[in-house]
Amino acid sequence: MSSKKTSTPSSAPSSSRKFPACTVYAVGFVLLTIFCTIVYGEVFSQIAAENFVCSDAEAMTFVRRMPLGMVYWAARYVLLVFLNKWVGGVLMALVLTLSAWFFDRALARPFNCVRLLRGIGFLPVVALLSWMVHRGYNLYFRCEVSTFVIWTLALFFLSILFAVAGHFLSRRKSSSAAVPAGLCRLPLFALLALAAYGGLTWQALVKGENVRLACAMQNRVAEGDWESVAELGRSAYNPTRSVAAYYAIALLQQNQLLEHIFDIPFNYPKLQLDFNGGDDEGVNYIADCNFFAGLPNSAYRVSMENLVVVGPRVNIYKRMALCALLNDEQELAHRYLHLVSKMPFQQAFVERFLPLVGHVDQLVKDPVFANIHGLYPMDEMMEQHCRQPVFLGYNAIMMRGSDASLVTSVATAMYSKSMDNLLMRIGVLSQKQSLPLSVQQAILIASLRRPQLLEAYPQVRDNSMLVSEFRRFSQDIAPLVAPPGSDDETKRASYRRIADELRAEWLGTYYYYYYSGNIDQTVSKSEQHGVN
Amino acid sequence: MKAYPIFLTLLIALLAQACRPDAVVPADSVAVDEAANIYPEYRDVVIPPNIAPLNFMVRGEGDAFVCQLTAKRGGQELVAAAGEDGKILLDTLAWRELLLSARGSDIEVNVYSHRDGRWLHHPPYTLTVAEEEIDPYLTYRLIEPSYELYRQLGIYERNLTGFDEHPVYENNDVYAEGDNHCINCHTPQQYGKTGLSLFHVRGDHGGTIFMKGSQAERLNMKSDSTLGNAVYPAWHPEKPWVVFSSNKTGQAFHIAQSDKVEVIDYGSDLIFYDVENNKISNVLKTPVEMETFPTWSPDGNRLYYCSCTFAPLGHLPDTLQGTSRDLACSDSVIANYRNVRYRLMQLDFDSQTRRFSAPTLLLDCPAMQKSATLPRVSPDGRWLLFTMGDYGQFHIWHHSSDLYVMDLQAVGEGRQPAEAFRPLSAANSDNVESYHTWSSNGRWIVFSSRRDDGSYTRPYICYFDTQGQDHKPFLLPQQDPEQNLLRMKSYNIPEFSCSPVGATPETIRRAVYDDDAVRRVQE
Repeated sequence: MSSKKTSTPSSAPSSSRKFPACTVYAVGFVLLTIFCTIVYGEVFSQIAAENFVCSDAEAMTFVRRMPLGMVYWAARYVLLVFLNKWVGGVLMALVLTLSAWFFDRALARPFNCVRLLRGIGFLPVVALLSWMVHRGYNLYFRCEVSTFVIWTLALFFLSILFAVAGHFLSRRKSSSAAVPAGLCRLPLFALLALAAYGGLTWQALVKGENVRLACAMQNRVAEGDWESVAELGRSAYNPTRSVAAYYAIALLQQNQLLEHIFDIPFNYPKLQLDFNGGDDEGVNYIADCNFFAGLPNSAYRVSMENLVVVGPRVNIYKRMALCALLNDEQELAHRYLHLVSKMPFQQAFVERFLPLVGHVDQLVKDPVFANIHGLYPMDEMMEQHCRQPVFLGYNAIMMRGSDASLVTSVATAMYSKSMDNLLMRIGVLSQKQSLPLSVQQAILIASLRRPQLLEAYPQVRDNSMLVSEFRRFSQDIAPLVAPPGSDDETKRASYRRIADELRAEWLGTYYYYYYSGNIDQTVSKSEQHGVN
Repeated sequence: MKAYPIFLTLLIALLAQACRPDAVVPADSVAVDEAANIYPEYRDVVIPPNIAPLNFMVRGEGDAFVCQLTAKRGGQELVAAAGEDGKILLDTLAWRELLLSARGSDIEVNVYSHRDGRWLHHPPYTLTVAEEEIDPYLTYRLIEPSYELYRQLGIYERNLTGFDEHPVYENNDVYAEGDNHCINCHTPQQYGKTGLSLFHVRGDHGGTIFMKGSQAERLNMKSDSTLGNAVYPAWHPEKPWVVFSSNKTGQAFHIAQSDKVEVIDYGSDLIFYDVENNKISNVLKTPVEMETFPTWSPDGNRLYYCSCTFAPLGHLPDTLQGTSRDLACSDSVIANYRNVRYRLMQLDFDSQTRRFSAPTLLLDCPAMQKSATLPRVSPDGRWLLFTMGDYGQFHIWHHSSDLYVMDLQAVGEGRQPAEAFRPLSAANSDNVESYHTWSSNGRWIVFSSRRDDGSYTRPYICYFDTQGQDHKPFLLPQQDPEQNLLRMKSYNIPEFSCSPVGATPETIRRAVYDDDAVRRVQE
């Protein structure tokens, strides 16, 4: 029996044939696809949903005036692929996998140790994705929406450059192995990249939870899938204002606002947002909240301000078109629908709403718009009379409205813990409907300082289960409450303890929210409005 | 950076041209009663003989369109065609020749639509070409019709005989801490003939930029004796003097009303600035009277302005000072915004002594439940053009505002002012009409209008004939008529000029950014 000897200076054992080179890249591609679609795909597709691009130079003036404006313009076209998260995610995974392959080529050849270094190219890829996750809301809030596309393509072209450089470099180096043969057999960097991928996924799922949820919720809002929006909101461990806002919008659309609004905790995490004419999170949700709260003028105003600051975005144009539709501003609605129609893949929106211009009666047959219309203010008022944001400030002070707006004003009073305001509105609510559980819980809290209050609400006074539940809560909270006369910091610390220790048992009750929610609540006063 | 969009535009234009049908009047067509749905609305307007081509879109059904323009005198003809996009783009040279031949007479416009395999001939309409030319330059600010925030904006100069538009000055393109600024109120003296002009900078690098020819300088117009910053300017027609209003302004946003914004003054006075001597002084400074919108007569012997008496301003306790006082004043005016009305006033002026007379009432608009703003006198001194609405002073946000004209000659001959004014019925629309200026020959008026959609202000030009009659206005023509629908900015403060701005954007930028070189006005 004879065998042919075939060997190269760094030949791998026969077991390597069981795992051909492409395995690393195939696995990498699959994992990247999972990340770019399932794990973080909603973020990319929400950014794409914000994107505005068209071929008309006039409509793209804002973008063109920016440094690198022409690059942004081109990149915004590439961003279109993410309108479908599967298409965009797969393409992005493909580009990133190719980048990894090029990086591998760049490094493996000069060092002549392919197996060891195979997969090292995934490290910069994972690093880039990790940066994107780290950026969080800053990936699109007040910055150019095509940023992540540009960086992905930049990495790709950089990898090609590296590969070309590596090719020329490998010709000059000797062919002798620079690394011990034993070490060469280990797919060390592939394993390292795999571990990094695990860290990336953890980062996205845990650290980036709110960003993923907010984007997924906004995508579901666009689809009118309120059930999913609400479920996503409830899944947040420590929701941001964006998540809480869209959760509230979904409950409002489902007529379950008072029943479930306090199912989520309301202690917003501090965000590190880029400053670009402002750094508040409101740029993401206030316009929508005003819109769904039946305040199209205020929604239009905030949308216009956002347009000025961040430039053209199709979701802004869509919202402004809908505000104009609701206000029966026909030519204005035409203007915005015309703009939307200039962008690829937006015809469905235009075709849906163009026939409704000038037909508000038809528009409000849609349940969503019927809900909004049902919240319209009955009294003329200036925003300056309300605290900001207007959707809260208006509901806090309005004295005349529909039954639907009574619910929103009760919810606002509960959210802002204004007990006197709340009790006044509950008195009216109780005449129109049975009081939701959260409202009854609020009455019990209010009765602590107003003992006669319960006489007016026998349905609460005589509800023995509710009363005993409140008693139990009082016993649980008693050891955690700061003693009277404590300074603010001590009080805050006690609120945080209450929030942490009572969460498992009491989250979902108004008691829990009242005594531990919105610890850092500040409702900004309406500021002096200057003229530009 | 500018080459690429120009290249792209040219490429698209070439491609579009390739897709157009031949510019030939259809031999067979069917006459229909249906008027051609054109945008902008250029039907039956009077135009200057030196205006840029009135390119337009046909928005009706059809896969091809032809437009035939024929001068009624001489028969000169211009034919243009459009594909499915409906854009009729007129050859500039041919257009100029057409206007030349039709000067002082009419052009008949015939539009044909190709629909369902046949050509339809829509009812013709007319363009009347006036004898009098229009000033060749128009400056304006482009800014979103926003509420408080600003980012990218600029002052631009448009050549009305063509389509060239270039920036006089643009502010920072991106947010820049310490460099964010707004600009406004570009106003030339005497239609640019003297080379003097100015505009304001607000925010970072705030002040007023004065330009003389190619030079530019920034001044700090605030002084201890004046109410605040200099705002609305009025150049003396001959001397290097400017009367400004000095205003304290606030605004409020309607939650439900269609007039979405209410901009109010809670204090305003008139100030006089001597450019050569850098001296500022008060013309009218009163606690309860709000004086604003100054304008000179063409001979420089009279100053017109608007004034509102707001008694509550005089009843605030003296203990309220500073920001608290401002807030209280602002709240007081906002709470009564529907009762704030301005009248037209006048002051005689002696240019030798530089003294103003006591104010006299010209038109008591509040008595008519109206409020007047922005008076402008025609170059021949006969007509006073102004805006009037139901209340207030920032009429660009009031649907009720329209243009009016007063015959000052008739007033001088003894007619009561209240009987000597009338609306510009042909020029006005159901929507907002506001800021307006006369051309240097007094035959053209440019004004801001929101008639297109109620939100985005566009400049409209109307002819004002020697009989004092206004005519149907036309929208500022654009090379691509669709641009009016895609431009997401409003046009503010359109001002005619006979010559271009002398200072370059770079010179102006240096003046804006050089904080060390700012001069302060003297009292």
